[in-house]
Amino acid sequence: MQEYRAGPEVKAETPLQATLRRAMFALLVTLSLVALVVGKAEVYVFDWVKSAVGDLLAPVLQTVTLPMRAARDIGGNLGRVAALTEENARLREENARLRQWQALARRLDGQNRELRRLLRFDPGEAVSMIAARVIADTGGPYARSLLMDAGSRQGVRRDQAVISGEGLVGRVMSAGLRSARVLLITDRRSHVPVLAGPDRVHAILVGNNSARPHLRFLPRDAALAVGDVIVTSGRGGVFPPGVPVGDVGVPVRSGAVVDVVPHADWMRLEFVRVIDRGAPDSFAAVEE
Amino acid sequence: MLAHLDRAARAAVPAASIAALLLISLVPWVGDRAAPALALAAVHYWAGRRPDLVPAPFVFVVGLTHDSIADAPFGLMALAYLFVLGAARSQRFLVVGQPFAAGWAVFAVVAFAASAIAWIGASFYYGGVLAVGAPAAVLLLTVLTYPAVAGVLVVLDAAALRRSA
Repeated sequence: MQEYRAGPEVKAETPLQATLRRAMFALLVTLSLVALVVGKAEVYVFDWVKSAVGDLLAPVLQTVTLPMRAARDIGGNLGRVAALTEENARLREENARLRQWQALARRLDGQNRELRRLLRFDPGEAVSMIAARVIADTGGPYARSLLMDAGSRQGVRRDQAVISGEGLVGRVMSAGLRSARVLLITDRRSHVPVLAGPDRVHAILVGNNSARPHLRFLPRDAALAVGDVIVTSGRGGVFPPGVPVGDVGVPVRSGAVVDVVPHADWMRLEFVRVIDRGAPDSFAAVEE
Repeated sequence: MLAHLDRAARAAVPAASIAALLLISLVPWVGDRAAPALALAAVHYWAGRRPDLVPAPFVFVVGLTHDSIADAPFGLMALAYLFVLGAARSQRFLVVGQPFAAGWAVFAVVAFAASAIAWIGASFYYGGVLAVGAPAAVLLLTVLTYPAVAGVLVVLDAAALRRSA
C-alpha cells in the first residue's frame, strides 16, 4: 500500500498564524460544547437550523440517492436471481391465499358498511395521504430518523403519522418547506400507543435505537404469543387507530420486556406516505 | 487568471471530497443499519496530508451538517470532527512518510477516541448511559472502510494536488 509522504506543498505558518489557528480551533470546540449543552434544553432554533439544512440539501440528496439506490438494487437483484423459481412458487401460493382473504375482506367490508349505516355510525375524520421519497436516513448510533422530500409546501406538518406499504414508520418531527424529518418508531424518543395481540391489550411501543422496539406498560396478565400483531390504538391523537406496526418477536414471559419486529422494511424503505388527518379534500380511510 | 482558477480548484479538492463523502454516507443505501463515517476518515487523511487545505471552520460546518442531516444532537459530530482534525494535525509525524498500515493504525486510535467523545456527549445529551453496540458498529465499519477511502483520496491527491505543488 502506498505510503503517506510529506508534501513540499504544505506552507509553513508564521507564529501569528499558528496562534490564530489555535484560537479559532479552541473557539469552535467551545461552540460545539455550548451547542450540546444548550441543545439539551430543546432550543427550537436548532430544530429550525436542522430543517433549513434539510431543505437546502434536499435537492442534492435526491440526486445522490438515485444512483446509490440503483447500484444497491442491481446488487440485490443479482443475488436473488438464483432464488427466483423458488420465490415465484412461494408468491403464487401466497397470492392464492391473499385472494381468499380479499374475498373475505370485501364481504366483511360490505357487511361493516351496512351495519354502520343501520347504526348511523359516525366514521370519524377522513384522511388523505401525502406521498414522499426518502432522501436521507440515519443508521447513526444516536438517532433513528429519516429525511423525506415533502415539507410544509406539500401539507406536511409536525406530528403527522408516516406509514409505508407494510406498516407504521414513525411520525413527523419537524417540517421544512420541501423536506421533513420523520422520527422512526425504533428511535429511543418514540412512544406509540398500541393494541397488542388478539385481546387488543393496551401498551406503549417504546423505541430503543435498535431494530426491535419494546412494549411497555403491558398488564401483568397480558397473554401474548410470538407473531401476535401490534396495531396503533389511536390514543393521544397522533397516530390513527388500526395502523399495523409489527409482530411480537420473542417468547413472552410474565414481566419480561416484549420485543416487537416492525412490519416496515427499513432496508427497502424508498417511499412513505404521510397521513394528513386535517385535509379538506380527504378521501377514504387509511386501510385502502 | 486561469492559473489562479486552476490552483483554487485544486485546493478545493480536499473540502469537496469531504463534503461528497459526507453526503454519500448519509443517503439511504444501507437502510436502518450502521453506516461508516466516511467523512471522518477523509478529514483524518487530509488533515495529515494537507492541513492548510482543511481549515477548522470548514470541518466545524461539516460536523454541524452531519448533525443536522443525521439528527444527532447539535454540536456532537462537530466536536468529533474537530477532535479528529486536531489529533491528525498534531500527530502528523506518526502518519506522514510512514507505511500505510501505520496511518491506518493511528486512524483507528483517533476514530476510537472520537467515538468515545461522541458517545459521552450523546449520553450527556440524552440523560442516560447509551448502549455501546451501535457506536461500536459504526466505529468498526469506519475503520474497516478506511483503506478504500484513503485509496480514493490518494488518487485524488496525486491527480489534483501533487501537480499543483
